[in-house]
Amino acid sequence: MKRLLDILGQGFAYFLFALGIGYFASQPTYHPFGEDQALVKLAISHPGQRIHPCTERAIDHQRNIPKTARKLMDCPRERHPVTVQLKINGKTVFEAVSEPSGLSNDGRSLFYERFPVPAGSHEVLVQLYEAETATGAQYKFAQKIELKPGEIAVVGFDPTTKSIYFK
Amino acid sequence: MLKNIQRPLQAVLLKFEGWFDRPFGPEWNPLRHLGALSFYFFWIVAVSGIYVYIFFETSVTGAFQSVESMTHDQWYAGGIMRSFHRYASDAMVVTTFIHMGREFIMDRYRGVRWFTWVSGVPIIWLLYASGIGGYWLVWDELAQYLMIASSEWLDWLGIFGEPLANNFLTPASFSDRMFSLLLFLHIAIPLFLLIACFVHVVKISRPRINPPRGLAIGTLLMLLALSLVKPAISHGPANLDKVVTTVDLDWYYALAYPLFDMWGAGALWLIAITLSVFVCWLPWMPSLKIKEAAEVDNLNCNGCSRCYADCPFGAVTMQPRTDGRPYPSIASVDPDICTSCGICVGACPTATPFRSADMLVTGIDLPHFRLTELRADTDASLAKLPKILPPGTPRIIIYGCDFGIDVEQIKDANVVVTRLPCIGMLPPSFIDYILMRDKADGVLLTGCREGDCYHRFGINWTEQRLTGERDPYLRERVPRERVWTCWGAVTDGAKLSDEIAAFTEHLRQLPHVSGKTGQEAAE
Repeated sequence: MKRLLDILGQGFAYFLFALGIGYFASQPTYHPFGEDQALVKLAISHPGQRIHPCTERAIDHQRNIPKTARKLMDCPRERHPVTVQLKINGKTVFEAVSEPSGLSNDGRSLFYERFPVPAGSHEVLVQLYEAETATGAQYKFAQKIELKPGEIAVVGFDPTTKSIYFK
Repeated sequence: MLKNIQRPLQAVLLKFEGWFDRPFGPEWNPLRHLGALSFYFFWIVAVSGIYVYIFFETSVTGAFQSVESMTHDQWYAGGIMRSFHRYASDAMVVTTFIHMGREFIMDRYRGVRWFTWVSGVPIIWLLYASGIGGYWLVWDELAQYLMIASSEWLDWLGIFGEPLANNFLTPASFSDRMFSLLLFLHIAIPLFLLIACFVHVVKISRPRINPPRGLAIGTLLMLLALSLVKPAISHGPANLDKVVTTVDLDWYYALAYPLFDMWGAGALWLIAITLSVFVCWLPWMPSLKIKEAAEVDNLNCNGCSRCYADCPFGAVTMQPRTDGRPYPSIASVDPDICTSCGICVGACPTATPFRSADMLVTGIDLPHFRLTELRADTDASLAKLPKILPPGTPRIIIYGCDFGIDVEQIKDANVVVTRLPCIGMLPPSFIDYILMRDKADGVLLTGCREGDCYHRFGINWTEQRLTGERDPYLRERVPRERVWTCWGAVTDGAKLSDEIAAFTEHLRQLPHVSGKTGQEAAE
């Protein structure tokens, strides 16, 4: 009788453990995003302008360098930080300055942000400044977009066409 | 302060464990095998993972379909294996955290145990990295949600040339190459987890990494039943053009993700790192005051290696002898990992109270509580027994330890008590000494609960010494019916009282040296 009770007790303990595992392995359901919302993702990876422009190396200087290492131009690596501004329906939702990546500050400036917006029609304006000294945005993109519920729209920069895209 | 936190928690935990003791018994009680169960779940995950991998297609477009096919077309094998893979992973999280909590509550994480405790922290990180990485591979909506959130969380560190999240902007940006990398991570990280698990137990002598067979079978049957009743299934296929609005999260692994959504990556990193540092710091908050380490007496150590075999923390090693005595080796104690439990003293063949010398010197001894003090304490306790007891009332001496039942609370007139750091410190010759010299009628040994000795093996070794399975044995001439054991936790005082009453009655029925039972002698 005691053995039977022990087995039943063990079974009950296993049942409770399985119940806990089974339930919390998938419940309760989580809603990370509203059903009537859409998402705008800003994902720009773009190098800023060089801080110092390239200059031609003097011929005398070239003579002191082995032939295989000779370069006609001297291009300091450092780049300006890049500024990106995003306006949705006339309201600035994002404006940030990103330092160049890399130990020598010569890499791309990186931007990645998400903006949940209600589904529907929106005016989007993106402006990109390659240097903080620039008077105006080097790249600009403005478009009226129509987003369905749950749709993801990506704002990026295409280096081949050198333009901001939206898809 | 720390004791004020631990004691009430201990009371709750011990109560809970007591409930488990009833059906499972001390040997199978799952709460005493949490570390071993975690290992066991790891192996189930590994084996089921190998099976699932055979049918898994490593590509963005093929992964989801291959998992679906495995789950539905091959539910009796692939489906069950997939469920095993998921539920055993979840169970591993549960047992790991309870294991950690239990070690904290029972104060088994400080002192020499600090390394084991601290090495558990990377295990938790690797466990989570392994588990979450597995969810990515299904490439369903849950995978999409977890993948993007994970990459955004990692991107916050700014250590990647391009944001990882850029790989998941559109369906076209997620390549098979990236998918192969994810699969590689899901194989490599669990291997690191396994290495971390072995590092975790490397400083423990005889670590329990396998649960008892009965518990292992029961656990496997439980997983099988769960896999049949509620098989693991996928969400809809991932679509990077659409945002995921609803997910059935695995809360054991993904609890942090809603927090990430609410508070952002920076806050979550702060929480994760602060918690990790805090947990690593706990063993020194405050640190455990350990008494002086055991000392070896060169003249009395004959290199028998019993202390080496019995030390629960591997603090005793055998070294080549250099003092010219005719024994090949000598015991050596590493004071940094000695807990001063005295189990080595209990194992030493020179530790006998029969010696006539006033000052007992043993091969290995505790500087703060020498064997000679144990004999003096024993004699002093026995001297407290009333000269005249009610007729037939047996005289009993109880040996208790510092971590088990509180023997000081015993107030019976016919009972005296002596405390030791661990019951494993008691050489069996002390029982011989007491009974054969008629200093008492019975000896009752108590300690922690069975299978839960604070010093790991004090109870095991004591029982094996009593039954003659382990050196030093209790001599055959000692009447076994006059030696009882009662294993229990600090909260089991009532159990000891019941046991004393039963032992008293039992001894009353035994024949005395005169040949009459205590009862008969009384009459």
